[in-house]
Amino acid sequence: MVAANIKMTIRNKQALFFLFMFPILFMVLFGMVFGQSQDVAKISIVDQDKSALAMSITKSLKKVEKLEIEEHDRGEGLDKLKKGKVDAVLVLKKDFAKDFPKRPAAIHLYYDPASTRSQMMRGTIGAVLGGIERSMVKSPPLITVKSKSVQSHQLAYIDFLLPGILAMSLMNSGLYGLANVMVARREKGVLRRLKLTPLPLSQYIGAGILNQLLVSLVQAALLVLIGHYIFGVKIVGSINSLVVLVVAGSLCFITIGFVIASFAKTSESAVTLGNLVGMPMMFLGGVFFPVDDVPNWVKPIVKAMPLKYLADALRAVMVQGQSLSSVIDDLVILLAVTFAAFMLAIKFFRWESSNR
Amino acid sequence: MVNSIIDVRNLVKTYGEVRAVDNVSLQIEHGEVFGILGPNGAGKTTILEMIEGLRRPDHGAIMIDGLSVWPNPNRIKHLIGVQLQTTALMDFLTVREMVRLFASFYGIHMSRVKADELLDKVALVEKANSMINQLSGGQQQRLSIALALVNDPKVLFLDEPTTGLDPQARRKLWMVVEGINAEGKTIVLTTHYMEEAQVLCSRIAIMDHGRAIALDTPVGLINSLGADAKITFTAKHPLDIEKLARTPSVSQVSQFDLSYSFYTSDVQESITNLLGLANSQSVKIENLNVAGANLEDVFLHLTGRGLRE
Repeated sequence: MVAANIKMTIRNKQALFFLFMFPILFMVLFGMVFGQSQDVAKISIVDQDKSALAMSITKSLKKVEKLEIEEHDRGEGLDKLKKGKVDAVLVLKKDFAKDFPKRPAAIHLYYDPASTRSQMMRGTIGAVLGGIERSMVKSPPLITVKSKSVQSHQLAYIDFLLPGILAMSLMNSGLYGLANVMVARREKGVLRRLKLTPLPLSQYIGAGILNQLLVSLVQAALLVLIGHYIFGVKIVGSINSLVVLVVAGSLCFITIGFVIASFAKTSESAVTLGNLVGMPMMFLGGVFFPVDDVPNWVKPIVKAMPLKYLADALRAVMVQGQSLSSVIDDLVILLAVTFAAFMLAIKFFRWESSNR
Repeated sequence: MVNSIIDVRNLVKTYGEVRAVDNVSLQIEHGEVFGILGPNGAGKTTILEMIEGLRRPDHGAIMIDGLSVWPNPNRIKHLIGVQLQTTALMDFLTVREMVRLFASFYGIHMSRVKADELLDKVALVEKANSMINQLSGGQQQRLSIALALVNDPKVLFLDEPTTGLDPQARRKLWMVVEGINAEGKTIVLTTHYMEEAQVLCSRIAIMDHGRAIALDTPVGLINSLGADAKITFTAKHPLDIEKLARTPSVSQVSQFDLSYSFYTSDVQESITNLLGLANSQSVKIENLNVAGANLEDVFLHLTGRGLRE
């Protein structure tokens, strides 16, 4: 039965395509849209002063890594800022440093409050200028802040995203994969025919689950590989822990899918029920954005979502390099949900669509 | 009736107000091809599925080979092979894989050779590597018979095996059924084709409205009509056949406009009388047709309705 199931899965080319393309597509799309946070920031400098000091500031800024400096006149620079072509505009007005260094030089910084990156520039520019200032007055910095992230490496959005997408695709293939096949088979009467054979229910279901599990594992492997090699996500956790989580999460959603299959009368209603369960989790389960800061009234909902626990655990292990024991809570919750769903599924399983 | 392989007693199944099966008793003997004949909705499938263990009867007892089907149908699963009315198979498997998969459900590891032998019995061996969704209707029906045979059952149940098939596919399936019966397997089939019942079955139960209204061999059932043949004709002008109807060999005279029909146990006498009558009344007779009586006529006689109304 297991071998046959796998054959059937592999030969269903169209379904297979969507099974693997969907999460990858998601990954690529989101990766392209949000994955550029490590890019260089563009700054436009409007030098109306042309003094030696102004030139040296421009020169120093140009040396700063990750800053791309362009020189414009004022109107041009502000226009580019408005259009999002540059992230900030620095204006050195004529005689901005007239009495320098007796009076501090005034540099005007324009930024776009609608853009997070532009806002970040305020801090960056400030720090850079501070450095320049110190080198000019030749005073060593009194306090140096050597920033060290609590993360073992710098987290980019894509690092946050990959475990989320992974969790989501495990959920989707669990919720829809097996449920659809089961309901379709029941509708067509295949299950009825199977009921006439001595094949035990547990074995039939077990084979279905195992097949779906293998599909999920392949899906997960693909996603992780693409995330790692194409988007440069560093997988810091142990692969074994990752596999354990993938299996647990996958099982959890497959059994939930089974419950859906037991209740749904038609394939259409299986999809609807699947959406009803899946959609809220997709948005509130911490796939695309962290859900720690959701409004209070949403929190209980989020807490009831198995996807959140899976996404959290995957994230902790994959990109934060935590051990399995540190996500044991999440794991236990997943297994508990699996068990409960399995009980429900067995109790309400039906071989036939009508009860004639 | 110790020898009966299937013994059904006082079977009742009710759906709401409808008595789908109304106190039916049947004894089916080893090696028979037993037919359950009746129009749609007569309760044929319901009876069959209760015997197979798919539907629980409200009342009555069913024994297969000395084992009671209810309350635990698992006990008879190894004794029977079933083809359901709607052939539902899984896609994306080849014919041979499907056979071997079903064998595995019975804990049988079937070799390719064995699988092909089985497919040969249902004239499907040349399709062994084809995908199931590429099979024609008749081929799918024959495959589903092969699947019913994987556990080498004593009894094979076929629920309307030829419904929806073209005449050629139907004949091919009949040959398959005869071949399987020749190996000594008991076959129980339902059909609403009287020709099928007549060709295949050693005995037939005729069902109507949940009741078995007759049970005999095809010949016995036809003989029960007391008539050899059905004579039909049309007349140019109204013909008074009162005199003909009074002869003892003639029965069930009916007239509709200028179309007449009657049954007779003496074809020669009746034809002679009919022609004499027509000559004396100067009425021209057309479309004279003499047909041997068949099960359709039996059903008509028993219920006053045709089989496919």
